[in-house]
Amino acid sequence: MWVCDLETLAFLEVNHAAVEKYGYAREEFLTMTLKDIRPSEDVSRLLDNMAKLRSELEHSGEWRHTLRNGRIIDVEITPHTGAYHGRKASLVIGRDITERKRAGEALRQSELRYRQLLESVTSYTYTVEIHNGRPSNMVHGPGCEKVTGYTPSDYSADPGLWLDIVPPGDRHMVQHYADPLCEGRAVPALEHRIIHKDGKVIWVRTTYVPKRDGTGRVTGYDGLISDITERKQAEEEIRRLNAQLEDRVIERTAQLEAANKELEAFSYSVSHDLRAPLRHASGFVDLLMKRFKPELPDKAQHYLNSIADSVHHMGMLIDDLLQFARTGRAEMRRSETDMNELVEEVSASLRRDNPGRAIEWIIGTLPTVMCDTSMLTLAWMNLLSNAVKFTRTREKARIEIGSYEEKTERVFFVRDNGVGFDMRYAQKLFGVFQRLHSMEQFEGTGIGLANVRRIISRHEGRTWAEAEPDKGATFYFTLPRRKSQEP
Amino acid sequence: MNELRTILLAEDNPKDVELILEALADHNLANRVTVVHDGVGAMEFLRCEGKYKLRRRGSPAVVLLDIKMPRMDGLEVLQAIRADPALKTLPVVMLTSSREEPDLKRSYEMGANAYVVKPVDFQAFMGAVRQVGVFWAVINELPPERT
Repeated sequence: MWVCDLETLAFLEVNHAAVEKYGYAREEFLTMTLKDIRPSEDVSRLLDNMAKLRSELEHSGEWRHTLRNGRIIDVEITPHTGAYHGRKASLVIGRDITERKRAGEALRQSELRYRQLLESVTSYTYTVEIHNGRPSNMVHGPGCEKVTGYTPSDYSADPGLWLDIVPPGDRHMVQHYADPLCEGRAVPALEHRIIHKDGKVIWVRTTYVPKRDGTGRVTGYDGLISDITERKQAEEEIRRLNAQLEDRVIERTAQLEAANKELEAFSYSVSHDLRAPLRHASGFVDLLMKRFKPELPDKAQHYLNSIADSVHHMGMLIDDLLQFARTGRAEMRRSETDMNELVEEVSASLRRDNPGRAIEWIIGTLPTVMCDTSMLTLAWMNLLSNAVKFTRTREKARIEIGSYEEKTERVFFVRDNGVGFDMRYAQKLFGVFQRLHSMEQFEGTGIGLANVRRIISRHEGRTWAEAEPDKGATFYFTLPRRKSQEP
Repeated sequence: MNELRTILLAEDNPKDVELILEALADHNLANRVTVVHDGVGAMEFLRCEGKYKLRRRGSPAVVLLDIKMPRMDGLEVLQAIRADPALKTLPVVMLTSSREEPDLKRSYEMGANAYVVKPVDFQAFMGAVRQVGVFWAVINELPPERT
């Protein structure tokens, strides 16, 4: 409490409490003015006030004052204007309200945080008491408004509200779901829909936690209700995308099956209809030769032989193409196959077909692999008959067959000392109808290696070749090693 | 007694008919061949119906059936023969251009006695036809006549 001069703002008298509070001695106070206890930034506000309110300098209200030690406190001021020793003065009662203000501020902050928290929560709890084995006294926590749109008092005013907001389709599931808790039995979390006050359907998940007294008796339970709408929407989206994907797979499979059927019909037709005219041409050429050969001049016989050759070649082309189509679409029937047996079988038949040839066969030990036996037989037949064919010009042909293991695959090779080829054309080698030698030199349809590549790639293997003109060729293929094949 | 029996050839393509007859002629079997041009004709012959109403009764020694024929194809004829109590033991040889496995499999499943792929190579074709013709028409003993 002090008295100050309204003109000069000088302190005229201070009491003991002021001396205690502000830290200045009475003598010091009496040399100071009001300005001296104001934080410097507030002084202009004080002078403004002074100009406006000359008669009543410090109106009641809250002000900030600086203590001697520099600390700033909040002060509630109650002024009384009067005269003091003949001077116009104001008797001021100041009350330190710093603590009160701080507590108020803390409360305000805390309330703000709480509100923000409630705003952002997607879960809330409710409690249920159990009386006589029946749930009662359901109390909803404040978060319910954010999640469901209804306030706790809405729920307490209408005891049926919690069930009314469940859509009819889910109501039977929810209504007695928590009843086992009354008998002390746990129930798993439940997911169901509710209708928000604003009309939107949302998904919630409720987790039930039983409450027990000291004896272990269940006295009630808490439910934690969480808004899981976003999760459900994401799940729904995943389901939708999966279904779409499945539809697409079904559609593609059907297209593929249709394409396969068409191809089958096509090769069936080729097989029947394309071969018949050839058969006729061949047949009549043959009859002509048989019945009228003595009467035919040499030239005519030569022409007929050319026709017969072409017809024969065309027949081979058709047969090979059909086989090529078959190796592409035939179902794979994999079984454990001893490659030694296959190679033995194929090389024996080639020996029989080429009795005049001197061929040295060097066959290494080959593994047993999981493969389609008839397809691999065909692949070996193509590779080995090629080796026999392209060593034809050698006095002594040498054909070496072997295999070795790599990290993820088994490599098989067929090496010959035949005419070889120029590596510049190596990439053409495995294409359909691709030939690197003239018909004159070596006959063939150009389908054999294409067949080999198709068979091997259907077994997830690779095919390639290395050669040098006139120095022989080596053909490689791989088959993947699988865990089931390991010893 | 077998050597008097006929061969029934069901083949729609006249060129194939001519070539088959040429092949059989080498074994003096050509004059005993009855040719029909589709499955319906084959069944009429076998059941003595239609234009074969007045033919001498009795089954042929063997039926050579082309698979692809108009109206009623070879597999349908085979099925009808095997379903008919009076005909079901008749030897039937399927003749076809097709090497396609499903045809072969179905033919045997339906009770064909043999399946001959008509080779493009005429020599081979002659050989196959001759073998079939001679075997079924001359060598093979027929099951006892039912009629």
